[in-house]
Amino acid sequence: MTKHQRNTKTPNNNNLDTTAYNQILGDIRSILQKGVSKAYKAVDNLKVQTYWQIGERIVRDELEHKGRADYGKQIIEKLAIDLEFSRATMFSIVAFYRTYPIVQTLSGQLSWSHYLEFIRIENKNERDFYELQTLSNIWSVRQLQKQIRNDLYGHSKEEGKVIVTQPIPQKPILPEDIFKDTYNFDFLTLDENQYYG
Amino acid sequence: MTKYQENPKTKDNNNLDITDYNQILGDIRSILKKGVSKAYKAVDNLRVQTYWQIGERIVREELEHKSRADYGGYIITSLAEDLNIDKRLFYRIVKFYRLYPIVVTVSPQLSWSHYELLIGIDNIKIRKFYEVKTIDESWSVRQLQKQIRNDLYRHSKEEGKVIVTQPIPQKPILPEDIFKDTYNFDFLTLDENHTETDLETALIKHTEKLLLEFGSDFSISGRQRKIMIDNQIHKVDLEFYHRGLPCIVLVDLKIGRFKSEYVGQMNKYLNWYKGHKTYPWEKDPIGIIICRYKGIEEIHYALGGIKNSIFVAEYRLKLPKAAKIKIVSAP
Repeated sequence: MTKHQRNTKTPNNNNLDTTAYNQILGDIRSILQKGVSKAYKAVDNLKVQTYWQIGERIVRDELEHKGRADYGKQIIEKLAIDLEFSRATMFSIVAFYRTYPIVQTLSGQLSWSHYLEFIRIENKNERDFYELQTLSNIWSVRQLQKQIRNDLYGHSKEEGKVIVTQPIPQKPILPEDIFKDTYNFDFLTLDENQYYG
Repeated sequence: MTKYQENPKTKDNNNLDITDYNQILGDIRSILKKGVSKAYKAVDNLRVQTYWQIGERIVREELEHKSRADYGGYIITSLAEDLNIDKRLFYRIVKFYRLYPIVVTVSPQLSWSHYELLIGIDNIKIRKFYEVKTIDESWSVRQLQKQIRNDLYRHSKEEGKVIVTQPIPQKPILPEDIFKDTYNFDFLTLDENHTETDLETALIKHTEKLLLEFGSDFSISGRQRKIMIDNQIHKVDLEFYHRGLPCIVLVDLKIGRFKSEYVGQMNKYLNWYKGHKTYPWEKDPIGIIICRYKGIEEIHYALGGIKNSIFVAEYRLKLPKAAKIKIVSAP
């Protein structure tokens, strides 16, 4: 966001006033931005928690109907229709719970979109590796996807060491922007203007 | 109230047990609803924190330029323009910070809208009173608003000041503003396993407190009213009258969970009252189902498409502490 200098309307048309005013304007813009970022993060964290609970509920139900072949699939498809979720999301929710059955292992620093990437990785060591890398390097989802595509895991295994890379960012990515980046409107419609108003 | 029987299919086309499925569907809807609700709350809490920080920053700036007359006003005007935010919001934000300068006194239980109401109360004692009450009794913003409007009137009376009466509302009163989401029956002492009859009897014993809880325009016109529909006798738990709307209000008390069939019943009674008991100058009767546990999704679905006004609420009790068990040795 660009700051614009304020030359008119200062009480004594004083340069000191302008500087002081621009300082407070900048500070408040920063406060607002941080607030909005925290809001996106909080919503995403709750989404992750909520989806975990839903996955747990479905798997519990599946276990109760163990004898039935295909029961799980049927239930998930029916739920997807009734809850107005896509089939893909519904299956992801269940896969998510199966991959992370213990809720304490979930990190508040990782977004739902990050988790969608992780659950695609079948090898636990590989998955743990990328999780750790994401957390240490504060990767956005796009960065994570890139690293997975480039098989960072495979390469680091070969070299016999774990690489903690800091990819050269195109523009600086703030931790708080990670959640805004991956924000998905299906959980909650959060309008920036609504937040200010 | 009487129940009606239903014989639905027990398995759907894929041989899935319908009852089981409805259970899991309901559970998940509830999980989602809770999640969304927590999300709104979390965002609002962050809004409150953010506004506090902004208020602090502005007041700090004002203090640094103490000698300037109305420097604060000047800053706010400029900020409002540059950030495209209503000036009045800034004034409220600054007032908020001034009244709650210590951040830990800002409660996460209260929303920004609650604070907007509270900062309108100048007297610190009265403001604190409403703050504590709102948190203790989980008042919604609307409830707080009502309580402030009502009590402030009483306070003025007690202090012997001239009473500025609440003008009789010129525009029609809306039912949504009258009925609560939660009714506090904490003036009753009931067992954990109380029956509906227990509840009703206890409420009638404390009529004054019951009416106070509902609101000043309510009066009780009957209980266990027998009405005949299709040659069957039905009984209405409580019949109230609201003179503001004005209309008959039917109250159905349920000690368990809300069930969608309650809506069907209430609808029948309301239709009967509309046809047999309502005077031409009265509005259509309204029903309110007060249960122990409300849930939300099921209500939304049950009420859709119904023409009559039916509200659903929860009641809260103060349960007695578990009685100490006396061991009496046999003689």
